[in-house]
Amino acid sequence: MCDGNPYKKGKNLQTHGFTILELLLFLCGTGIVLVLLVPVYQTAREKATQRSTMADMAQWARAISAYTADHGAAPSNPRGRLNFRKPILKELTPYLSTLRWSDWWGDVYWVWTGPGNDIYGFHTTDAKDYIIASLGEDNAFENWSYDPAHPEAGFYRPAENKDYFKDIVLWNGQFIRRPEPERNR
Amino acid sequence: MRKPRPAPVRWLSRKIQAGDVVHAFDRILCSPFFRNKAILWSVIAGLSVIFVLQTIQYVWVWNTDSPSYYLAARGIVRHINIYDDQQFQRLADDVLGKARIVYPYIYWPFLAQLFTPFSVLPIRDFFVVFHILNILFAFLGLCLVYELLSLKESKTNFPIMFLFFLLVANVPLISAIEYGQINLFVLDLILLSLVLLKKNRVFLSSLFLCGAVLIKIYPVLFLFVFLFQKKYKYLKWTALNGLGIFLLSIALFGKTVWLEFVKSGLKIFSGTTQSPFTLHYIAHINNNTLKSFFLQLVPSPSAALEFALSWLTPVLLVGFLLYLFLAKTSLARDDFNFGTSIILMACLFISPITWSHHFVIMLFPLAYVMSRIVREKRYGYLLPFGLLAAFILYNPLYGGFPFNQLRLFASLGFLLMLLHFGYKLPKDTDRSVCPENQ
Repeated sequence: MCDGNPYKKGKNLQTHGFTILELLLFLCGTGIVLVLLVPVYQTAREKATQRSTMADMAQWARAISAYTADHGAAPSNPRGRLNFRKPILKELTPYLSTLRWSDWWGDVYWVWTGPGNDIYGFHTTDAKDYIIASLGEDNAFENWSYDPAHPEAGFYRPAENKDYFKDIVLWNGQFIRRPEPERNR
Repeated sequence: MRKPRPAPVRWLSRKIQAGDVVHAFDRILCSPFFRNKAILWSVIAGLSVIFVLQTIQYVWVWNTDSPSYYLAARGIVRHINIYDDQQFQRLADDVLGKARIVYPYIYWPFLAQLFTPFSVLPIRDFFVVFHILNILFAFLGLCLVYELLSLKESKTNFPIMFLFFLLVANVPLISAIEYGQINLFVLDLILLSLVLLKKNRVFLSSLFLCGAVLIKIYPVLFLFVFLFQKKYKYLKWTALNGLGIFLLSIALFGKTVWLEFVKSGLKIFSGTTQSPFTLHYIAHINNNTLKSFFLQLVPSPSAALEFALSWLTPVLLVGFLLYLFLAKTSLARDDFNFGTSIILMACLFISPITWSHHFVIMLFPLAYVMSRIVREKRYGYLLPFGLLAAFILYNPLYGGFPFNQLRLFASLGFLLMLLHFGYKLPKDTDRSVCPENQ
């Protein structure tokens, strides 16, 4: 046999400890609370992911604007998709304190600069133009075009999981595709 | 005459006490399942097969990190400056083609020199060889943990089974193999040196620790602690071994690569060259270290504040941990594994970059705490231990701040639990789980 139960001696069984019924009730209660909390947690995490991604994109925009102010044109990045070998990163390094070329879902950002880009219904013409995009949780381009007559049409209110698949797009310092700003809700 | 009926067992309303829980755990741990050698070997074999099957898929995929070691080894043979981004990328284009992205080599020259024999292989064959080596390193690591924790003396096989369970339910370990990382080898060198130190084989122990430091710098923290403990003989042998390895490296490969390494290191630390690679990786969302945490917490334009927070905190933390370790060891110098666990965890927190695969070093602290919980019957720690271990070993890494730092929080929580566990000793620590007369 293993050790006896040294804790039993001298203890009042009626006043200490808990019953199996109490234990089961506690486990059921904990389970219900967890079931209720999981969706709340997931939503909070997705919102935080969007928020952090947008903060990064705003930082990119500030850096490109500062670079453009110094050089008269945005740094060149013809193909959009970033990776650490792209010259644009080296050019922007002095303007950034931290630099992420991946969004908070772990997929790389897309940055189009200068004239001649056709994306999201835009045709860029100016050397100072730039568009920054995160493709959202699904890392796939969304079939969406910017409508200058209704710029607010680009804002959406995330209600279900697929809303986090939507792209986040920033054009010349302004978000044109993004979750609706909190103050408008 | 009718026999009186026994009183009904009112199990639903019977009070369960702490002693009952301890007793129940004892009965489980002393059950034949956890005492039988045949079952133990079956479980070990089963978990090992699952582990190999889990990781075999990565033999044929392109590794993220090992191409850097491979190319650096090629670069050393071809006398190319492997610390120069442009030269290294040209070499990558030449050897692997322009479509492949290879990350810069940021380790000591010694690691690349170790890989030079493998650089003659085609890259795909190199992946296979490195994969097999990593699998072997994983098993060797478990054997060394077994030896360090003296699990042979355990009266139940549960801690050994738990150790092998850490093979299969361990995202950091699987990631280290998937990416073709060197962390398992470094961990093995550290553990090997500690096993040898335990056996008083100072020369060999210092040789292996020196090897670990020359691959990744973090094991140097052990040397600081040995300095505080006045293990001057050990330090002397470490210095001599280091010098010997350095001179051998110069004799075989020349001094140029070391000079280039020093130059590149000075440039990074002086801040004269901030490469996009460094800036990105320090603040990366999957970087679970204190420096990265503070950089993400304070993404302000105040560079001075960022700098202060990101560097001062780790320095203060390491000072605090060393103090705790020294205080502890001065009280009980034989508690070697407790100090080892703390140092390994401190390495994770103060490193500027701590990826998922760096958490393979948690293998030792986790196995250590579990072995002590079982040996000392401190089952009350099992629930927090399980929760924290789950977050450390499995954590979906994406999510905005602070959700991406859950692994860091869990590790800090585990450190606090470890300290509480280490300092708050039970009154009767020599109670065996199963007496010999069973």
